[in-house]
Amino acid sequence: MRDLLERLRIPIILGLIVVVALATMVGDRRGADARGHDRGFIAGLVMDVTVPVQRVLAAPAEAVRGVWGRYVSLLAVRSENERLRERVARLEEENLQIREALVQSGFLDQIAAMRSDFASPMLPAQVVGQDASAWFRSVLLDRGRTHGVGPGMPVVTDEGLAGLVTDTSARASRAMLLTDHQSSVDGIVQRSRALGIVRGRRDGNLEFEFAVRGSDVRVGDVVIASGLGGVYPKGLRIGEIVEVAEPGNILQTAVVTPVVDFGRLEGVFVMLWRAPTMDLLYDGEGRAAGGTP
Amino acid sequence: MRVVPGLVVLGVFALQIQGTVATFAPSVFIPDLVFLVVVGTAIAVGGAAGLLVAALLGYSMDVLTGALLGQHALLLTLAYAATRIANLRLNLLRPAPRAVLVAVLSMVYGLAHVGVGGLFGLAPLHAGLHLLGDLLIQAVLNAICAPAAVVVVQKLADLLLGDDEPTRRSLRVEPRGRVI
Repeated sequence: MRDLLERLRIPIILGLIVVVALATMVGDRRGADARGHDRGFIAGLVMDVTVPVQRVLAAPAEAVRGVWGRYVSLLAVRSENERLRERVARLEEENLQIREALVQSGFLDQIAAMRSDFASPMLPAQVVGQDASAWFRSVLLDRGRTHGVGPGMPVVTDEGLAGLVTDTSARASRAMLLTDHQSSVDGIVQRSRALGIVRGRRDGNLEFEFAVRGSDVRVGDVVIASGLGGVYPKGLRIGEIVEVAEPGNILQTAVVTPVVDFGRLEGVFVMLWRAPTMDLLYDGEGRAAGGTP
Repeated sequence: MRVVPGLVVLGVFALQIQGTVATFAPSVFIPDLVFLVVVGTAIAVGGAAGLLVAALLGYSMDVLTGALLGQHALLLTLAYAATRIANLRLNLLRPAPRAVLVAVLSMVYGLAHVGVGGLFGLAPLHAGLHLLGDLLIQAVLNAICAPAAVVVVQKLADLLLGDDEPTRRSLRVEPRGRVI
């Protein structure tokens, strides 16, 4: 009997590890549909320790990239300056015309009310590491629970929507990017108001699945968050349509290029806001300092 | 059992490097160093200690990536078991067979990740050309790095185990008969 146990020692340990891994996967999946909750002390510790280590490891490469970036920026600054001046002048003129039209049509108050939806506090955070696995797209941020960050909070840049906080520890958090194959956002085409769901794709682009087949959509249309899913606030820029597929039998889809350059994601803002639906999902864990606007 | 913490530290350090490099380069163009440490452990160390290393590294990876908790632990442990079986059946002493084995395992490992994600309803199974391309790139990169990874793990294991482990104590082989 003892010999048998000794011979089967490795298969037994292997079986135990497989059973435990499957059980933790089921538990993790069941815990929260979006997989966003605190994963306990040890997991939090691993995340907290990772942040300073990755900062140290990234420091030399960051320095080289910084010097190179400044050199390249310097070369391009003059022409960019002229281009931007021209653009500002054009936009100011357009802005004046639009304001005038809005005042005349009496919609300015409604627009002002909509703007208050975005009046949630924004916390700047640094991206200290990307997902180590080639099969997932997430980033590690240097802000955690102690800074008011909680699961379910949107992550944005000055360009638009970047992702969603899914895990937090005391001083770090992980955010799933829009390009992750598990990510989905309720979107709307700004021009035609066509609704759908924007999903992440492996090639770094996004896929827009329209709710209604035959929706009015063109290449160049801007896609924004519709706010319908109750996860992201309405109006955040997601991307631009670059390809419209022929409508199939069931679905009509389009390829969207994200406005955020995920390859150069360094600094982001965590919106200290969480939709009421997310509060239900997370049982009130990590409630935002700003609360719901 | 000094080898377990030693190899886990090596694997976690590899994970940190992988995560840091991924901020500068697309993650698909970075070899899966943790996977290589596990394969190296299966070839160079084996036994219950190796299984433990694979599971612990898997859980560490689960915490730092977008995977389900237990996903990498499960798949890395299975990759470890597959490598052990291959090591017993095939001659993996030379770098070329090791590289081929790692290439095949990498493809299966990547597909398993997509499959497990689909099985748990996390994402639709996009088995398109992009996925195939990513799998091939990862397989080639991992295969190139595999022989070096095995050597590093082997050296570290030798250093940590020394002559303490009875199964690894050096054995003198005396020649039979008279030496001419």
